[in-house]
Amino acid sequence: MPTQTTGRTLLSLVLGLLFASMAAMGSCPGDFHVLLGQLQKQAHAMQDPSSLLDPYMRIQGLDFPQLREHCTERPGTFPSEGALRGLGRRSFLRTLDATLGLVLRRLAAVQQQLPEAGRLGRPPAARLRAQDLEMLKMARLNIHGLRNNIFCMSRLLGSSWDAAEPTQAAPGTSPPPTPDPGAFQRKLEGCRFLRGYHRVLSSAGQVFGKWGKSPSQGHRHRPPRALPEDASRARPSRRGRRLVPRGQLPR
Amino acid sequence: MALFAVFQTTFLLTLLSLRTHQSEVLAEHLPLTPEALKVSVNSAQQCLHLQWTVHNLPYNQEFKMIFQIQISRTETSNVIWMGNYSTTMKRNETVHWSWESELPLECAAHFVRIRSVVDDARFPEWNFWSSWSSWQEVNVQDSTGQDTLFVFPKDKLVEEGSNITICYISGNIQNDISCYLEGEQIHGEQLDPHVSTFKLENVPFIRKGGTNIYCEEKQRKAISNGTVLFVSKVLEEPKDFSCETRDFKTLICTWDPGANTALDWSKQPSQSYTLFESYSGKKKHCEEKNRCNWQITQDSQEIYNFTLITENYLRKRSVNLLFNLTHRVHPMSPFSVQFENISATSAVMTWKVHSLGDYFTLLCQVELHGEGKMIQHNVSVKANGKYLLNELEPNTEYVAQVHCADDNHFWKWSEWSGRDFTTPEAAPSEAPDVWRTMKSGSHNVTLFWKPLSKFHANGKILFYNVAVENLDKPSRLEHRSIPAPANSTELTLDGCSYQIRVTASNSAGASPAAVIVVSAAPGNKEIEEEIIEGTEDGFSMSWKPQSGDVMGYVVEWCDRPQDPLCDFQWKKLGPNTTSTVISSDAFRPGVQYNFRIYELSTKRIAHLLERKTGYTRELAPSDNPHVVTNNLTSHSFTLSWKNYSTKSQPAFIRGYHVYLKSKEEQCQPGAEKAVLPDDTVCCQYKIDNPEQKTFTVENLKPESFYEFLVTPHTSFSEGPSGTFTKVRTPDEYPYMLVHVIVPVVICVVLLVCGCLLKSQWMKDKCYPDIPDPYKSSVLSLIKSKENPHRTIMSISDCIPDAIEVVNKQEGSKIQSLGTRKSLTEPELTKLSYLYLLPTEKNYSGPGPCICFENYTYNQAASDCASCGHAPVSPEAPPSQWGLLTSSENLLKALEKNYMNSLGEIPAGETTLNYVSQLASPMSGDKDSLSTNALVPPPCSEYKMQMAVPLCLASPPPTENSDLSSITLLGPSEHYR
Repeated sequence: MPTQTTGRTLLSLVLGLLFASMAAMGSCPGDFHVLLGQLQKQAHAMQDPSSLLDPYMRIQGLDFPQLREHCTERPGTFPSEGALRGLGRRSFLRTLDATLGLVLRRLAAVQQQLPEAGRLGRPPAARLRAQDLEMLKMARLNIHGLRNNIFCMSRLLGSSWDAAEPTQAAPGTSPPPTPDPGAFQRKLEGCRFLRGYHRVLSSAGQVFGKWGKSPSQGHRHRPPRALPEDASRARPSRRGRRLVPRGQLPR
Repeated sequence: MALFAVFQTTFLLTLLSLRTHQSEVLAEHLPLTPEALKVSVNSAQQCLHLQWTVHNLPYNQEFKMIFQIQISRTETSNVIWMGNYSTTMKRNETVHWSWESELPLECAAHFVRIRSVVDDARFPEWNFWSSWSSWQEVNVQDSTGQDTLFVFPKDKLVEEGSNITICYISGNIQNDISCYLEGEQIHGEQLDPHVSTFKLENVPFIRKGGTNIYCEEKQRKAISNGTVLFVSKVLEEPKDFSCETRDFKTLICTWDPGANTALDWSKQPSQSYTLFESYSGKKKHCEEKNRCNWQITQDSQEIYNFTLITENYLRKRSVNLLFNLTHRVHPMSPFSVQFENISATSAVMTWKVHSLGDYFTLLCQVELHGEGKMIQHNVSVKANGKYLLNELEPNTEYVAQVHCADDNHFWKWSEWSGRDFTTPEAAPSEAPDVWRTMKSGSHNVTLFWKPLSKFHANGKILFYNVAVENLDKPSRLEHRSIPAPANSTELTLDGCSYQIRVTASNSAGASPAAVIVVSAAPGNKEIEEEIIEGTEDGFSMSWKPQSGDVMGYVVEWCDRPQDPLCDFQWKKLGPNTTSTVISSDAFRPGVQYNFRIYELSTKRIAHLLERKTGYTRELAPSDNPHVVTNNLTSHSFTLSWKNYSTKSQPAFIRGYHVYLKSKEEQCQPGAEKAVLPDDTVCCQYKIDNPEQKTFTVENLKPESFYEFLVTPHTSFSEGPSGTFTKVRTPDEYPYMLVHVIVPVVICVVLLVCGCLLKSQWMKDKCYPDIPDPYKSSVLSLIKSKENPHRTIMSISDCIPDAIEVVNKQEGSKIQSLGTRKSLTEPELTKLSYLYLLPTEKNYSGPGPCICFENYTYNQAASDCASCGHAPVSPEAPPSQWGLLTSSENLLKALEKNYMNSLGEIPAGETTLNYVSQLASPMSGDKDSLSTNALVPPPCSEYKMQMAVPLCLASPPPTENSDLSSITLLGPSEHYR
């Protein structure tokens, strides 16, 4: 287990730093298929719960069978795969970027709540916690890397949308203040949120896979029910409304 | 008097009565029941905060009062706690009091009431309990009618090892509910139909994220709710709290903080640390968890009393430290460490220290590390330190370091400051250890020397100087310089005595000389080698001194005697030493080492004293000799293993064992029975002389198999049990043949040779020439009767010159010529001829003859390839049956038959036709011919028959011919 964890950590570190540095240098792969391949690999790697959800559950003490069963994605928190498939390429990228931005912020909030291991606890437990905290850090790096590639892909598709400033949830969409549900519920909510995060990355990987099967790079995958991209922007409606995640990690 | 007593009693009764009345009035008119009772709740701390007042207290002064408080749970009659609270209060003053509940207050409704009593000696009349206040209900959670399950307390912070009670409120949920603590179900008590409580004792710390407790409805299999118990580690008291200064400007206080008690979700931060100094009254919050800096003010404060306080949300701990500042000086590291005047044996070390003021003296400790040793020196220093390092070794790298401490009140050494330096070289301090070997019979001397130890070399040895001086006649010194690291040189000397001086030189100079004398007459006499026993630790040996005036002794040997270079070694011993132990890491078991012990005279001339040889440990021989078998006879054979070397064996060979296996049960004299490892029994011959490498096994049986094995034996074991070699003794008969038959053959040969020399005589005597038939009278008779009509000659008209009678037994087998037809057929069995042959001496070709032919006698001729006819079938015409084509063939056949006639004629080789010189009385009777045996008359009475090959005979009979008839052929018939 620690060996696997270390291996995944290293892989994540390499991937994250690779793509982070790529964006930092301002160099985007100019080949659509190369970029698409990278996006697919990233989505595939990050959809694995062991990259984020599992360490989170270990840190929070939720890795028990009864709790695992109940750590399911809360419907509506993230866009469904069907909804993602229905989006145009640029809208899809924008939605995915917004989702990842939200996850990043929530992860940052969670990490602030988790002090370092220090000399607390039994040494093996302290080591495991340190490893899991490290994986959380790596997960954030990976998300940054994926967002950078999303930015590159959006540029390749001719979008002027700036991925450096991810789409924010519309004002007023945050839920009204509610009484503190307690740490237990917040832990569970975080678990469900991350479950949704992995699922949405899996869905994104499927969508990227469809892109690879398109006849040409300029071809837009536009399912029959999807509205034209411009129309959906100009005329927000329930169907064309921007899909942004609503779930939150506890903070 | 009585009146006074009555008055007094009446007065006291009146007073008592008045007092009682007054009390009743106070109790009735001054009710001290607590009023305005208010109850507030702190859910997190599970506390009820009560506040009340007592309005009816008289006088505006403080009363000491006791309040009795009753707390009920669920219903007023269920009092779970009752206690007194004593305090002083004034009229209308509000009293505060708190009560902590074990059970979370949300789990059940609580009820509180109070009553009071004045507990003041000044007002004993008020010392009675007031009536109870009315019940005050506290209901934190109203879950009535809700379908939600609640678990309390919520996110409670407790210390590790605490006992805690939790509960769940199920509201309207009717299903069974199970609760789990970290995945394991916990069991509790039902407080009421909707509330169950769980008591957790001695809760452990599991993780910073808290201990999860959750409940699920069994039927829905859904997590209904849960809570997190944040269990904090117990805050530890700081350990090893200590303060010191390095510069009298700052005090550095350090400690071991112990476990961090921080928890996730900001439930509890890391414990804080605060320094408080009581004399100055100053306090400082420490940023770091294990150290804190305190600024020293210039007010000459010497004594400090520090309190280190650590606290978290649950606990507060502190430790004290009282000290004098001047006793806590930890000097800073010395600096500018330098070395001056470095020589081969000394150096001066200097350094500087940070000044602590004029009144401070530092004790500095200098440590010198070199050559694996360490030397310490203490130096007292004010500002600059200096120390002479002496007794150093030349050409040695040293590391010198220094640290200092307060000399007046030792507290701590500073960190080390140091440098390394190397002393220069000096001339080698000792002569090299020199020895020599001399080849016997020559004047070649090989000088060996051992490299000087680092201690004596005092630097890197560059070369060795060898000076040779002739002691017998004045001559010039011969010098030779051999570069290091050579350790030997060869000198060719003449028959004179020489003194050889060897010195070692480095860059600083030469060593003292080692002197050795090579005598003109070595005088090495033959000395017998003595066997010594070695051990793993080496060879212990002793010797007997020959003369009392010796300089010493030398033992020489080879570490690797089996190698060509042998790794020559020697050991020099003092004059009073007559024994030593020679040990070497190179010694190996199973290797024979030879030692020579020399006596060194005062003139430095060596004389061989003794020779020793031995093994550190003898091993069993690994090989058996390669044995060759010689002189094999029917009764003995000799074994030989002359190539077997006893010197190169892993032990001293003491002899050999010859094992002999045979079918004989008894061993021969000189042998004894032995049982081999494979339990076979054989005879063992013992040879105790290792140099005897042949052995003859005798008294063996002819034509018998023997197996032998020769194996060497040492003092404790013998060679490997190898494979036996088989030997078979030969038969005696061939020897008889050789001894008997050979002379006979020689005699026969001699006889034949003699006969050959007398052949003419023999011929005349044994087989004179056959008469010429042309000169026979019969021929004239035929000629005279010659006419056109052929007539058959009557037998009676003939005067036979020779008659051959040949008979073939009926049914005897004959081999057919060129046919595979069965010879058992009746026609063939009757085959017989009678030849009448001419008896002319010089008959050389075919001529007229009369013959009776029988196949039997033609056999050899038919087989004769020289006859020139191939086998043909009986059906072939007679002309194809090859007649003799040349006279040579005939002669050959004649020769052959002639030779055969000299010896025995084997059965089946009846190839000769005999021509009788006598007329047979039964001629013409074929039956008689076939039955009568041919008995040759004495040679003097017969003419020798000619052997007539078949090819010379008439054509073979055809199928229709009468083979049994007698045919007389005229010469014309033959020449046709």
